[in-house]
This record gives sequence, structure tokens and C-alpha cells, in this order.
Amino acid sequence: MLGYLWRRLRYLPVSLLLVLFVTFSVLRLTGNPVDIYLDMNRTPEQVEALTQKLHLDQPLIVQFGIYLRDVLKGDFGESLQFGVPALEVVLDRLGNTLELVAVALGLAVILGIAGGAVAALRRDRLADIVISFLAVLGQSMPSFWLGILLIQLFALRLGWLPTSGQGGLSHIVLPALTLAAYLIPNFILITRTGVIETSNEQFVVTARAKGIPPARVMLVHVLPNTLNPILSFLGLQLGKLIGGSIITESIFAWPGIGRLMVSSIFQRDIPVVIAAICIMCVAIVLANLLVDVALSMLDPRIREA
Amino acid sequence: MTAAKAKIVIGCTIILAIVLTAIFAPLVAPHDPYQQQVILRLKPPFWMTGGSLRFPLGTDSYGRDILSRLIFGSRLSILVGVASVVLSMLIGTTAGVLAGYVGGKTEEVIMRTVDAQTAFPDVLLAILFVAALGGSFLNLIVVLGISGWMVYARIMFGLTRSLRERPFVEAAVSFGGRSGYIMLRHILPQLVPVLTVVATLQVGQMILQEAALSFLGLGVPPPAATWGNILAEGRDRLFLAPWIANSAGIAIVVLVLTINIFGNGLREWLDPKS
Repeated sequence: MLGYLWRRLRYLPVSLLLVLFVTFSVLRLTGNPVDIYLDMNRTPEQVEALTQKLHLDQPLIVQFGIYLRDVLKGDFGESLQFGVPALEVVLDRLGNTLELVAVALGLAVILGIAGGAVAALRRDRLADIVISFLAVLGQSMPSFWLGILLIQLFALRLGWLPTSGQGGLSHIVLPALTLAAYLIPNFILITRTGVIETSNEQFVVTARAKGIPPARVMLVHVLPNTLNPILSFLGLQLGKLIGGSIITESIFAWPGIGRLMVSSIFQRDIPVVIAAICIMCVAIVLANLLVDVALSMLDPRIREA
Repeated sequence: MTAAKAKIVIGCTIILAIVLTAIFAPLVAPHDPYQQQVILRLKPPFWMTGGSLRFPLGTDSYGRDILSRLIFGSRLSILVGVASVVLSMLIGTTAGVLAGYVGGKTEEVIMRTVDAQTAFPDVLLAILFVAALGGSFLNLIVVLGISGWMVYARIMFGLTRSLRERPFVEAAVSFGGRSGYIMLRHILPQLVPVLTVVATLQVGQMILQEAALSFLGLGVPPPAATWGNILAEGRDRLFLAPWIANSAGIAIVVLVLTINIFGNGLREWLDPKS
């Protein structure tokens, strides 16, 4: 297990280096950094200070080295709108985003697996047709409009839930559901296929023949076998999920990293934008690692390979 | 008529209708999409009380005709969708064919880059570019083009590698054909059917991406009539005028769904096995 973890962890620094290289290149090579970081009303003193701070008078490769050193120390520069270190601003919002993503993931797993299992058990009957149709429809539905439809139905028409913002439990339902909608359709389809395939395996037939109650056969013998493809899919979709959280947070005014990032672009608060992008990439890399470890714990065949 | 042909015919008809409407937007649209008439603001669509056929889908908070804005908005969606697909197809196919045909170090570098970028969310890439360059029509195409090339690279890589072993390619090599010539004249033509299907489906995805970016305010800035902008404006008027957001939402879903149906029909027709 430890050996496997080590083999995986080796790639972590490479991925992070790549992300930093890309952010650096886009910022320094697409135009004059002075234009990007400072607005029109800049003073010569500000330009001078920025040149000093970013070492713009040095060769690019030296600049990249300094940039790397600062970022590794957690120094992304000071936020222009809040006047505190950019990383602090971002980490402040990290909890909110993690909360949203965690609830959305939970919802997606419960609804997706339950939906897929029901569809498989009632194969080709009404329940299956309805669930499968909804899953296919969900795949071509833009999440930003789905969120708006949910607001109209549950917040404005029925008045059950608040339209936006953060507060009690009721505030997280709609954003989490919108974000979960990125995963639910595929979770349903994957579970449905998995359950149908596994149901014909000999160990399931044996379990049923021994007289084990159907519910137990489903939970203990069939469903664990669908976890592997679901987790693999989740690993591939983590990037999309993070992208989705940016949109979801913007729809529902959820005070997370995504919304901070979008509003910082309009405030031209570049240090915060970069810090947010880097934190998100670290999160994706770590989450991918977590998925891989979970996969290898669930499936010994992967560990050996 | 088979299911595949039905999908192609239905998809093609609707797409053609939308494209023609987009091309002839100034003739088809009942109003100027930018003309503001504050007295006529927030008029509902014609089927609701207070609505009239003068503004069939109602007006927004500046009194602009929503139908006309949607029609003009389709131009930008389609142009950005098609142009960014062409760009990412050029990059991705070149990279994929090179990696598959040359192999070795070239393959290693190209395919590892594909892996690395696939893990990086394209929204983040887009945000990075917009933060640095600002949102504009051209930037959108570049951003979406660069963020979508991996799909083509991966598929073309696999196909090229299997084509390289086929007798007609080996024959061309033994005749002394140069690598560039073989890739262009022998390999590329074989890839066209698959490319067509992938590119068609990608146009839908790119249109969704463009709408999402405009919705976040990272696309072509307002007052430009884009579907994402209309949706974002409608989000703030949900209580008074839900039709603003919903009409844009329906437009996006119809176009993307039609493109998906058409693309899937093409795939089934070109490759009866799947």
C-alpha cells in the first residue's frame, strides 16, 4: 500500500510545477504585467514598486524562479481589494467551497446509485424508462439554467427554500443539487449498467440461491461492484466538478472560492485570481490521489498492477 | 428510414433553420436587438396576460425585444462554437497524428501534455486567459480552442497508431513516401469520418462553454446580445420576469440537444457497429 502511495505521490510535484508554469506564462507572456496588475490610474511609483516586486527587469527564467520560490512560501502577493495576503483571502473561503462540494458529492452518490439501482431492478419498466430519460436529459442541460429553474420552482413559486446566500441547512440544498447534477446522470447510467451486468454473475446467483434476502444481495453483493467504475468516473470528472462549483457559486451567491475568483477578475485583483486557481489545482490533484487510493483499497487488482 | 437517418434528417433540418435564422438575423428579427424603450420594459411573452405579438417573447428590463436578442445571440454562439472547434481540431489532430505516427519521445511529450491538461479544468484556463486578456469575441475562440484540443489528440492518436500497421501505409513507406506525405495523403483521409462526428458533438459542448463563460461575465461583455448574457441578466429579474432567463435557457438546450442528436445520428450512420 505504501509503495503504491509513493508511486502516485511522485507525480504531485510535476503536476503542480506545470500549473505554476502555465499561470506564469499566461500572465507574463500575454502582455505587459504592469497593464495586467495595475489599472489605468496607476502612478509611476506604483509601476516602479511592481517592477521591483515582480523583478520585471530580470530575464524571464529568473522571474520564474523567483515566482516559484514565493509561491512555495505561500506568497502570492497582496490582495488589491482587501489589502491582506491573497492566499489568506482564498483559504478563508475554502471551507465554504469544500462544504458545497462535499454535500453535492453526497447527494450525487445517494441519488445516483439509488436511481441507477432502481432503474436496473425495474429494467424496461416505467420506472427505468423515466429514470433513464431524466438522466439523458440531464446530460444536455446546462447547469446554470438548471440552477435558475430550481430557484424559480423551490424558492420563488413554492417558497420552500431561500434563493441565494449562505445560512442554515436550507441554503445549501439548491446549490448542492445544482452541482450534483453534473454527476447524477452519469452515476445513474453507470450504476444501472453495473447492476445489470453483475446480477448475472455466478456469485450473485449463488447468493440468491442460498436464500439471502434480495435487499442484502443488492447491498452486499451487487452494489460494491459498481463502486469501482463510479469512482474512476469521479476521478476523471473532478476538474468539471470544480469548474461547476464556480458557476454554481455564482448563481446562488455562495461565498466560496469560485465566486471570489470571478468577482476578483472584475476587481482586477490578479493575485487573488492566481492564488485561487493554484489552490483549486492542488485540490484537484489531491482529490485525484484520494480517488486512486480509495480505488486501490477497494480493488486489490489495481494495487498489484 | 433507420433511426440513424431519422436523427440526421431531423437534426439537420433544425440546425439548418437555426443557422439560416442567424445568417439572415437582420431580416428575420422583428426589432433592433439593442433598441431600448424604457416605457415597454419587462413586457411578458404573448401567451401571458399583458403580452402582445409585437414582442412575441417579451422584453427585458431595458425594453429590448427578447426574440430579436436571441436571434442575434445565435450568431455569436454558432460562430464561437464552430470557430473554436476548427481551432482545437487543427491543434488536436496535428498533435494526435504526429504522436501516433512518429511515436517515441514525440508521443511521450504530446500524450503526457494531453493527460496534464485534461486534469486542469477548462473553466480555470478560460478564467486565467480572461483575467489576463479581457473578454472578447476573439479571445473566447482562442480560449475554447486551446482548452478543447485534447479530445481530438487522444482519439486521433489511437486511430493513427492502428493505421500505421495497415498494409497500405506500409506499402507507401516501402515506396519511399516521406512521413509528412504519408500522414497527409494516406492517414488523414482515413480519419475524416471520425473527425466529423467528434467535431459535430464538440460544437455543442463549445456552445455550452461559451454560454457558461458569458453567464459568469467572462464572455463578450454586455450589452452584446449573447445567450449567456441574456441568461445572466434574467437571473437578476427572476421574480418579475422569469421569461428572460428561461427563453435563453430553452434556446441553448434546443440548439445543443439538436447538435447532439445530429452528431449521434452521424456516428451511427458512419459506423454501423456502434
